[in-house]
Amino acid sequence: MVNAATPTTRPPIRLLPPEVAARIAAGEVIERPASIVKELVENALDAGARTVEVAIWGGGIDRLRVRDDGCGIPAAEVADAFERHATSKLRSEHDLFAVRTLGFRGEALAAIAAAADVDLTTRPAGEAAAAVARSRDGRIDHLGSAGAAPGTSVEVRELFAALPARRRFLRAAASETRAVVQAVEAYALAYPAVAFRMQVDERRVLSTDGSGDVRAAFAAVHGEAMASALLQIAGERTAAGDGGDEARARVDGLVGPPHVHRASRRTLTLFANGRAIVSRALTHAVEEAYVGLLPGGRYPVGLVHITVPPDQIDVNVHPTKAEVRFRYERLVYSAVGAAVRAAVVQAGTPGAPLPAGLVTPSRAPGAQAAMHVATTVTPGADAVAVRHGAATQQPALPLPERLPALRALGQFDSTYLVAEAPDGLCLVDQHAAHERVLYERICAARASGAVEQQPLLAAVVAPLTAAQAALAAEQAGSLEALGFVLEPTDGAALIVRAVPAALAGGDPARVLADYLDRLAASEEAAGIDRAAATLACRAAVMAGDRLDIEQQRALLRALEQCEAPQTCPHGRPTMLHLSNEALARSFGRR
Amino acid sequence: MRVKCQQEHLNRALSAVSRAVPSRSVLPITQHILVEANNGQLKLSATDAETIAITYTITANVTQAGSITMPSRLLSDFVATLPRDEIEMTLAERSRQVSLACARNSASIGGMDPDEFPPIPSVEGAGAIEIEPERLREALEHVVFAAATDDSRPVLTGVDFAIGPQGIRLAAADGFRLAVFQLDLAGAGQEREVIVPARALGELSRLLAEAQQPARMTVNAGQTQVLFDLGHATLIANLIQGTFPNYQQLIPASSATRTVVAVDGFKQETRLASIFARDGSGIVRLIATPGAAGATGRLLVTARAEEIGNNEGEIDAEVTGEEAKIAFNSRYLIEVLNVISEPRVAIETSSPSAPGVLKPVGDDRYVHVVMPMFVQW
Repeated sequence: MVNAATPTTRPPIRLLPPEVAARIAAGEVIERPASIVKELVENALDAGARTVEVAIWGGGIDRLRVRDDGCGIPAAEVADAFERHATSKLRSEHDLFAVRTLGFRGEALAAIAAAADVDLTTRPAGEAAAAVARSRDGRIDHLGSAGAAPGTSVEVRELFAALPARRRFLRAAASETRAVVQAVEAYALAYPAVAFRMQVDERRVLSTDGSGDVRAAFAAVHGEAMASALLQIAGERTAAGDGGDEARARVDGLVGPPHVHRASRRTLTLFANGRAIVSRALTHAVEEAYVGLLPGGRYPVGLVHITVPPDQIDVNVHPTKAEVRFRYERLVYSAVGAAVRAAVVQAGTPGAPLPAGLVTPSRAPGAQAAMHVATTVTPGADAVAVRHGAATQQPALPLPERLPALRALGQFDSTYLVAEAPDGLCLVDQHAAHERVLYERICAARASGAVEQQPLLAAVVAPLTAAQAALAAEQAGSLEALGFVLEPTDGAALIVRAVPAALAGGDPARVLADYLDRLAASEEAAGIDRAAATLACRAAVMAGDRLDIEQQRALLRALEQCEAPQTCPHGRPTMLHLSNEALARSFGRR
Repeated sequence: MRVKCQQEHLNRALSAVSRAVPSRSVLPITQHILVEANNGQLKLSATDAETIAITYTITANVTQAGSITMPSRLLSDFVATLPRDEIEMTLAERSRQVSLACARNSASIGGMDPDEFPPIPSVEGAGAIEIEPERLREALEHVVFAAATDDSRPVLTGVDFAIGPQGIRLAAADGFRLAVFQLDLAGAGQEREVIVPARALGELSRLLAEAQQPARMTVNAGQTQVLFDLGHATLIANLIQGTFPNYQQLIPASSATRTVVAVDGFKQETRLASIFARDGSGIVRLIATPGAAGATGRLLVTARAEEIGNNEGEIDAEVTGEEAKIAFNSRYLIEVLNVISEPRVAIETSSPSAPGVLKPVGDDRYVHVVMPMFVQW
């Protein structure tokens, strides 16, 4: 109680000294080394740099440097550059609504200088010497000149040394490093015409050639193998805007074919007018395009550039500029979805590659492509190879949608069906195949209104958790469309009167609870497709179920009739194909 | 312990009791079989320590009494492969290592302290009910398959035994169907109702197949356990606590159409159709048409799977009432037809959405109610 402020001892309200105000404001922009790097890289890009070099030491907390070969800052303006809201990029309020440069608030250097020690060396191409400015404790304590290459170099040391409270919030150097690398990778992908080089503790971690080839940049960041598989996307949508103008969104970039995916969302990068952005909605738009093609918990890869007229995007939403607001968000959403979907659908869903041992090394040139040629089940495999190999070529042939006739030979391990195909041997995953069959049947039955139900002899009360009940309420429409007949009770429980025919047999209350749990587990549990996929998965034969030859035949025949027989609704492959050629090669017959 | 017995006896005893051994258990000793040698008998016991215990006694030449437990799987597998000869089991004093010798084979199996074996409860109660083994077996086979396998509503995983002066009415239901069988017994005793786990009754059926003398069913005073004593074998089960649903109200009192068909023909057509129905949730459609002016009617059994094709079969039927359409899960139909031993079965229906009833013609002890499926016609 000693320190308790009583009304009489309360200090009077005072305006904060400008340095303190600057430091507080800087916190909004400068949270961690990655945000400094972002600001500086954006400045470099705005300065027209062809090469940007980023180097960090100790996670960027100890020291970081961004050097470019851009236009530089004239010596006379160097001191002003450290002032808050000093910028060469905006002239009037009007400009703020049509931002074409990455930076615009004029806060970067001022904010950084408020948080750390800054050394700025800059030389416009036309000048003989570079101007040097040194800022310590938020004040410029030295201005001079020195010899340096044209361009600008900003070196930042001892981040938050004067703000111990903030410094405590930084993570370990390793995770700060990761954040910086991710940020730089995003720019490298966004600006393939700029050569990016990045060093971490004197070690080269990234180098792009600045050739302007997006695929090359992607290869530098995510590896050659993935880059070569990517599909080109392009599309444009226009609509009448609400202000009499024309709403427009262009989409281009590269996305992975359905068999290339990752366990995290990190390999999908979105850009809006050249700026890496974070957008749940647009990420969702991309993922929607892969619904039913990717396995659960796997995410698409690629990079998607969205270009809209400058006055149709607001980048001033968030201090880090990672979030943007589109004036015509629906339009952008549908443009992204359509462009990605078009490329993905065209790619088809090639049969999964076989184990490497079955692919002969003699077809090594362009190993990735050769693997697909040798092992895809589709006769149009060469078209696939062409597409995987070169960035711009369009597929020569549409992939056949249906399977050839398969002859059941038997069951292996109570899990796989062995079948003879016209051009080789197929191993079919019985669960995945049945899931696909049921999924299409459920969708068809729903579309025609012919939903099959198994009503109960006596209705039962299904006790549900609050989460299950909420999901059931949210999904009431799709549950009904699938064949559930449910009635509410006072509490979280539901009365079950009928279950979808496909789920008949089990305990109805548990069937409902299990179904809801599965639905919840399948991410973004929205949309009838997922509901149907979940139902199909719940109803399909399991690995380990013995099937007699009649059942095997029936399953294969049903699979032959499917629209997309190659994958289960979750995107796992339904079959592996061993071509006669691959077999002959493996046995040394050819 | 020193005991000699015949391989085939021991083998039969082991395969009977090992059915009670749980496939997985946190309690290692429940994976063992208790072996007790005494008074010219070798008694084997096994339990899952939760719902069921089985004992089986064979005659043996006991030269030194004693007891031990042995791992069920190992012992069963070993004994099953031995030749049909005499087996000698020897356990030295204060040892846990059992030596088994048979013909020219010998083995040593490590056991555990028999005192640690879960106690096999002794069920004592008034008024044991005596039932001929084949009659009890018949009753069980009519209902056990209809019990739920999912344990989310425990009472439905059991068979309801409603005991009264007229006998025992057995009932099982799984939410989609109901099977009721009246087992007539003079002097079954006072009115009681107990629910016996269907799994235990499945094992009881097996044991009954080789039983020679009447089975004695005893429920303990607290109505928590039931004992079926078959003489050479006993089965003890923990009763399921709870109230079995009032199923009488689920049996339709009347019907609009009664279709009588031969069980074999109907079963055959349903099986055929189910091959086609297998992929489409097992839906089999029945259309009963009365014969015109004294002619025989017919029952059409169809299944369709869009991808593979249709199957349509027709059988003669005596159809009384109006034409009827109804769809059932083929599995439910086949399972009930499998247990009907009378040559003909009556299918009583009222509408495509009302429960259907199957009854053997000439045997009013059995009623089977199945909920139809709602389909597009």
